Amino acid sequence: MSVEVHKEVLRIANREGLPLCAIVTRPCQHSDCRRLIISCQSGVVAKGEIGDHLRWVADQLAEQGVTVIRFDQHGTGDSPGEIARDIPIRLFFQKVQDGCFTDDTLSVIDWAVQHFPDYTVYLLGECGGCISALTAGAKRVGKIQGFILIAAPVLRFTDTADRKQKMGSLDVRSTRKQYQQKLLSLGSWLRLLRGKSNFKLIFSCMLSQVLLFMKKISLKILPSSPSIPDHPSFNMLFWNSFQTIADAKINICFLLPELDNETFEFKAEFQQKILNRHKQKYAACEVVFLPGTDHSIMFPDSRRLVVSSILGFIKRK
Amino acid sequence: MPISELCFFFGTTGNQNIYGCSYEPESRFADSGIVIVPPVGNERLRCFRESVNLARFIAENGLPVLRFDYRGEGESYGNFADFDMKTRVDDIKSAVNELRNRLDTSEVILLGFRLGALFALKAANELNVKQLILCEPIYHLEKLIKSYIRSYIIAQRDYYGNSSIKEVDIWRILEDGKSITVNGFQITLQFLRQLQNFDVSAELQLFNGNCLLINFYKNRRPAAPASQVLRWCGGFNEHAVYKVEPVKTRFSWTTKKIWTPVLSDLNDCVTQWIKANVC
Repeated sequence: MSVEVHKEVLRIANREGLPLCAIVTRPCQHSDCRRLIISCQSGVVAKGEIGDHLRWVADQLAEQGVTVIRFDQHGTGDSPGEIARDIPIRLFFQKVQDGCFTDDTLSVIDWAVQHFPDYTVYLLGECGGCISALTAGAKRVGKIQGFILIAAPVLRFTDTADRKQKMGSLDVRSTRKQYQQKLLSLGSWLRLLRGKSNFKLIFSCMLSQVLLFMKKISLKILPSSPSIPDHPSFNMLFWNSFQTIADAKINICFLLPELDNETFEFKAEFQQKILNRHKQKYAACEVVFLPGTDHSIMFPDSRRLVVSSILGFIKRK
Repeated sequence: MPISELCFFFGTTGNQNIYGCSYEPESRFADSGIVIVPPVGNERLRCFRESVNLARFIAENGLPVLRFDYRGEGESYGNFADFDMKTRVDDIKSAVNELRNRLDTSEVILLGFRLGALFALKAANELNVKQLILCEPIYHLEKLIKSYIRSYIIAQRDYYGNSSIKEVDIWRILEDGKSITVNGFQITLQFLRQLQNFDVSAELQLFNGNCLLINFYKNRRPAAPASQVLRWCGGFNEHAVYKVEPVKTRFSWTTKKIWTPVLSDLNDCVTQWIKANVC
């Protein structure tokens, strides 16, 4: 049964004394459910995230009795401060992946634990927010009951743009599907024969498809069972924080959107190589696949799925 | 100059609260205040930090500012699909009242971005506001509507491999009472029809105040305003005074390749115009 929600705007001081802007969304009526989720946005926009979906998710969770705190890290949203100016967005993402929001998240965790002393606290992260949640949570393992990490990026943006020059796995699949549909189109064939097709896209897609296939085969036939991730771009900050949390047997739920390049990277470099091959060690981890869901959780059905996944996890743990 | 910043909810009716942020300077150079009218949907998010820093900059230069989120968007209550053009204009009016009451200002300047610029124009006419700053207004509403449709088609193609869906199919979906998802926002037929029927020319004809029209450019400063801008300005009331100002920026409404939290040239342009026209 859903209840009305109440929202309150707060300022939470970070370690530099900057008053971070936060919103607490809680059920209006008294609830026996003393659960609190701290939501960590990626940092690109504001605490509601792209499409306002984290705001929507928070409202839905609060209607089900869960209290949610969302906040803007320094230099984002309505909070003061500055991270950087006029830099390529991939360098901004790199800063996030290197933990530039860890301290802010720690400040919010400490504030929440102080002001909600008898609540069970969970950390929710979206994209880059997963890094903030993991790195901060690793320093407060005794205070956090569980982690919900949506679209967690495991590979780090590099200093050069070459990572983004390759096609992502989702893009390859989508492009392949489009061209498969065009096989039956006379117009498409005529364009191809006249040299008017996008040959660069076609060859890029074919090359990426071959590389993905070879990677899949190599994972199956080469008997490697690394104990640490071996991709040269793997985010070791993610890994080290994850290790600390996993060693403490804290529950982690990875929510993987089906329609997301990050999901393919997660599956190939982390789930298959590490989680699946060391199941006993990482028994507290679960991976939940979100069908029909994109990286930005744009669609209404996807959002409902995210909410039900979160509620299911916190009720189980 | 130090400023005092506050974020809060202010009410319209019942539970339909609007989220706003005020930026108050230590001392003011005029008895005026500014309401920043945001764009809609994804464009609002695209310029979020830029508009926060614009508000701070204006306040640091001596004028109080109020920013707000429309109901159904941002931190304001409600779902996007339940609100439309009319409710957004009502929200601007609520924000103007809030600015007057909370920050004790008598004269109001409306500063609108993109679709927010058109809503600001309409609200200015209804509220008799005489100072208007229109930043990158939507000159062709039909093009905007087509861009919404196109975004939906691209999402269907890229995510679901559905490349056979056409514009006529989208209109059929809308006419069946369903909404379409455009960058995470549920666009309804009612909203699109209101945009189609919005008579910008009539609103321009009604406005007889002072207007700054800002257009962004990337490389070379244009020698003259674009023809669409001149055509638009030709619709202003004969008593209106307007100025067209190009502003250089790497900012883009569609892609975010560069992290640009501060648009210095925009901030300077706006503040200089305000100081020249408001004192």
